[in-house]
Amino acid sequence: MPDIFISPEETKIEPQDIPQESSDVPATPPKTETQRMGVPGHSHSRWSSFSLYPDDIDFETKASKEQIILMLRQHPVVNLKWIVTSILMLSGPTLLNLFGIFALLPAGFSLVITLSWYLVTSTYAIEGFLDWYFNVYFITDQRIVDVDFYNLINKRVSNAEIEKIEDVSYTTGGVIRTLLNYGDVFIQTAAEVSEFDFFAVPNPERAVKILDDLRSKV
Amino acid sequence: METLITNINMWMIAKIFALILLGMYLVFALVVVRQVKMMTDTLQLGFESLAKTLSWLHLGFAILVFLTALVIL
Repeated sequence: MPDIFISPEETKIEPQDIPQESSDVPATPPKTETQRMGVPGHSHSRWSSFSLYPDDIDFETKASKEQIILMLRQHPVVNLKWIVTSILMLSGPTLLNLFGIFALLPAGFSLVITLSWYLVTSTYAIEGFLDWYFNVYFITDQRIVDVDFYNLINKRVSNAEIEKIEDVSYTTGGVIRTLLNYGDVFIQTAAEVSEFDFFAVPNPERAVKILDDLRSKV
Repeated sequence: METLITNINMWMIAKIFALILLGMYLVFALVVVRQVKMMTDTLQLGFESLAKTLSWLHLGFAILVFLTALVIL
């Protein structure tokens, strides 16, 4: 006589197959480019301020098996200050000419002053760009890293392991920050550097969520 | 001695002052090159060659301005 009740065959569910709607970090790190493309927030752009699992990015103290989960830098809108100032500065020699200042000087001096002015303007613009581009924050699968360059020849690389993070918070506010969705992330740690501040980073709430996810996995 | 003093006029002092300032700026431009090297050694963000080119162009511009001042002032 055949069995009346046949229990359904049990299917084994791997942890990585479980849909994790609440998690911003995939259960298994994407290894191939196709997998990385599927992660929301992944970007190929070299200018990106928020890139999950970024491609071909490395830093000096990164361990060989360490994986960068998130790279952050300040929102591109912060560049407006030096861009607008540089454009205004470009008009400096024209204004001096209009007010007749150059007419009071010997011909050679007006040329040297003009060239010097453009030299200072170019320095200001280059420094503005470098300051934005190279001041980055990394969240890896092991730690958080803050790379700061200041006073031309000084750098400070601070890091804290994920398990030493005690508290993570963020602030947004103001019209522009709310419209463009960027803000400051504050991380309290039990490491040597007790506080990490990620200033003016895009999607601060998502960065905090990623950190919370990583902390819960430790 | 008196001839030398009378030959030193205001524009000569201005020229020396300008050359000293531009010479200091040359050193600063070299520091910028060094700074970019330090940045690109610390971080590989995919934009190293352009950053280095910018710093060398800036140094070249500083040398050009210094030489221009030396010749035409």
